[in-house]
Amino acid sequence: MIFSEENWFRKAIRFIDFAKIRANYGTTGNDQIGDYNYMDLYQPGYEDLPYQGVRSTGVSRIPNPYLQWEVTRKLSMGFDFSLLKNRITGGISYALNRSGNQLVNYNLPSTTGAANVLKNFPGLVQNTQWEFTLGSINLGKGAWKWSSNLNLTIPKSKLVRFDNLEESSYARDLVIGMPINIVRVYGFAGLNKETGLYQFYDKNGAVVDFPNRNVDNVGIIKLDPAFSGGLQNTISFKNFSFDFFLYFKKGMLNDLAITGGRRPPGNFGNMLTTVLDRWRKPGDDAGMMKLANESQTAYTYLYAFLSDKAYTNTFFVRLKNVNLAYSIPASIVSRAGITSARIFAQAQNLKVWSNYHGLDPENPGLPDNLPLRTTIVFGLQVSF
Amino acid sequence: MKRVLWILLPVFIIVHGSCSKLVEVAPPVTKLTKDKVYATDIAAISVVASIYSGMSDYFLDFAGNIGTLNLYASLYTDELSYFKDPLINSNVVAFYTNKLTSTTFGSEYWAVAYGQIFNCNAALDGISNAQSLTPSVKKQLLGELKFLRAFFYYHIVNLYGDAPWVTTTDYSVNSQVARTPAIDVLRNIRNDLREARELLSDQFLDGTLLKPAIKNRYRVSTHAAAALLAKVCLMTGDWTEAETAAGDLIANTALFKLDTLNGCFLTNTPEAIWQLQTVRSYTPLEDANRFIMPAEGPSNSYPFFISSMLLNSFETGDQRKAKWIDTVRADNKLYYFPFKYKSKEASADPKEALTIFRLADIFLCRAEARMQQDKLQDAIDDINQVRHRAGLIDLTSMGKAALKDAILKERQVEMFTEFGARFYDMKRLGKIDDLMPAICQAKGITWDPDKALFPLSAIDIDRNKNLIQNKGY
Repeated sequence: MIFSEENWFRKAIRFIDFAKIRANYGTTGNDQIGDYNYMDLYQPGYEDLPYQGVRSTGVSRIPNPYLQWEVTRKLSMGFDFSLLKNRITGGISYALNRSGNQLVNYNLPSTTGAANVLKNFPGLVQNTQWEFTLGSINLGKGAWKWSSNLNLTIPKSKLVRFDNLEESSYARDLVIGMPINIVRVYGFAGLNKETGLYQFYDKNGAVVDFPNRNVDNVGIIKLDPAFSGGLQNTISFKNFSFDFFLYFKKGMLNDLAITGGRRPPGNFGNMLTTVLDRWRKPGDDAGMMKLANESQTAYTYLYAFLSDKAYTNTFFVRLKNVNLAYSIPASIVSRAGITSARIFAQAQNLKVWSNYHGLDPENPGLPDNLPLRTTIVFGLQVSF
Repeated sequence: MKRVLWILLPVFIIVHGSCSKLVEVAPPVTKLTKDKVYATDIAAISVVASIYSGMSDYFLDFAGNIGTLNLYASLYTDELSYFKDPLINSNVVAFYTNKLTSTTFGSEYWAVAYGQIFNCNAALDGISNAQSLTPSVKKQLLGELKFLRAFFYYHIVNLYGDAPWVTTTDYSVNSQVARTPAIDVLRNIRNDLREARELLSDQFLDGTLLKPAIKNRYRVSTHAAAALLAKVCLMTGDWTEAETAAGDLIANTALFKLDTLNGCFLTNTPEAIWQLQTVRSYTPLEDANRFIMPAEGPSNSYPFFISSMLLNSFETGDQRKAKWIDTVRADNKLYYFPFKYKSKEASADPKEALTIFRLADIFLCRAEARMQQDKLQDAIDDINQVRHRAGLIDLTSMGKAALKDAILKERQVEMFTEFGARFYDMKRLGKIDDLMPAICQAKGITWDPDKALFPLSAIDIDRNKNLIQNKGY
């Protein structure tokens, strides 16, 4: 409803140019799955020498005759406005999606003969999202022009219901009431100054060298971002124009550079500089465990990978785009028979400010995951 | 109004009439549906062919396929050692040092075998309900599938102990199954093998299942079922049945006899009870490919050699040491490597075939069954059959305990690098905790009795709360 169009509103509040509230509700499905998954299908093999001359036929995947459509119910509400002769515009929106029966590759133990089967997910997942946008024209008249746009997104997900979770193959992956995207971790208890190896907390809080697998991993890390957003600024002065876009995000990220890299430190291959701060002799208070043969350190290292030490609550700001352009005045170029000419420079991924230890918080995980590429383009655009 | 209805009526009929055709989607043209797969002999045979090819198509780099036991189970015990190259695959080190874990190596055989058991169960279900197959073909296929399923369970029980007994293809059942005690699984497969012996042909059939194969023993026959039955009965303590099953094979001299040491791994050797056909024309058999060391000596690619423990177990004059083991001298050191399979030539019609069951093994199985029944002299006679072929003198009479050791030792030098025989023998004869401590000491590690079984995968344990991990992992 656009209530700024109502007569009573126009008379009462003059500085608001436009105001609207909206709400939607609907139901959708999903057909983004492969065809024929409910059927018992076989496909020919590709052996070089068929067995006794008979080309093989194998089961193509575990069939699931019980497939149904997945259903998502969506509710969204919003408020949009503009004021001060459209110099400030903005909006707030809220969306609530509840999905059930999603078609997922349901994990199976190997006694079934396969790693997963396409199945209706026996649970209900709720996703909510707040979105805020604000745009302003800071300078609008004269030679200088400057406008900004800010947006902010706060997503949340929650597992509302899951039938028989404890009996299912998701018993160790999901918790009712928690987001879908979680990981269970062991508590990291620092370095043992005597042995040079990492220590952990067991489920009762006691410090141990090796936690009990799948018993002591009582910590939960939520992997969904807390919020993300962007800020766009466009500035122009006569024929010059300059704009840049900042992207920011906060959330827990897997940060294996802290624990020492792809494999236990001491192996062949490149090392991170973090190994310089390693344990060397009893009594050392170091950040990284000792360098040793993999057979001595593999377990400790594995648990460090699976502990809360391997995650960083990251906040980063990325200078994602910068554009600078100059339009050569028509009075100059027209003498050469040119309609318009423009010189520009564009850059992407110029800089990231963050507390993340790996190379790039947008490609997290292993420390040698490559960062997003920085590209810089210079150009001249001419039209005749 | 009436006119409108008359116009609408044909529209309604057209829409309504085409509805069922639109909704019912035809099956994909690139794949076969279950009803077609089990409708003809050739299609049903091709489903079982996929199980044979799966067994035959493997590389020794990764554990999992039964054929890779020739390497990994031999490293695990006292048969093989490896060249300490820093770039050696970490799974080789893990098996050699008994350092298997639920998250690294050791659970591979479980997953691969249950994958094949699913294939067996799917085909058993399809073929037993099939109406249009030739009766003799149907009977043979059912026998092969019961045998093959038993074969995979035999290895699962030997490697992992208690195992879920899975006989359906329903994932909702199979994902919740608990482990059945090993002895019950063995009894189940013993019963399946008894049935399979009745169902299977006493000839070595070809790919049509209607006539005998020309010069190959690539298909399971009633004889393969007898061989596996003898081995299973040695584990369940059914000594007389083990003796009879083995005896049936030994008595069938028209089909089976001990070949020469150089002949007994060739295709169509009269010693073979069941061999696998290669499905790759571009590589030699994996055993020849990876065990035969080049003249330059061991390297990261050819790191495996016979351990001194196995070498020292051969008696003086044992021809098996001369014929089944070859050497390379490198850096003034003599390296001995397994040489049962001798051809490094890739071929579409190879001279050798991976031999799963052979008569010498069966002689030693019958010796064991007879020893367990205190028929000591009969047992010694069986062992001597195998010793003659190796150029050794007869064993003379001895007590039961000494004979048990003699059987274990004869099997060690006869059956090395063959499908984990040594590992299984030590366990079946109750000797593993007597022998492994010294073996491990020689390897520079310590034996842990829990290591007699491999670990299950942590992922499987996570996904099925009824599944209990083996002790010590």
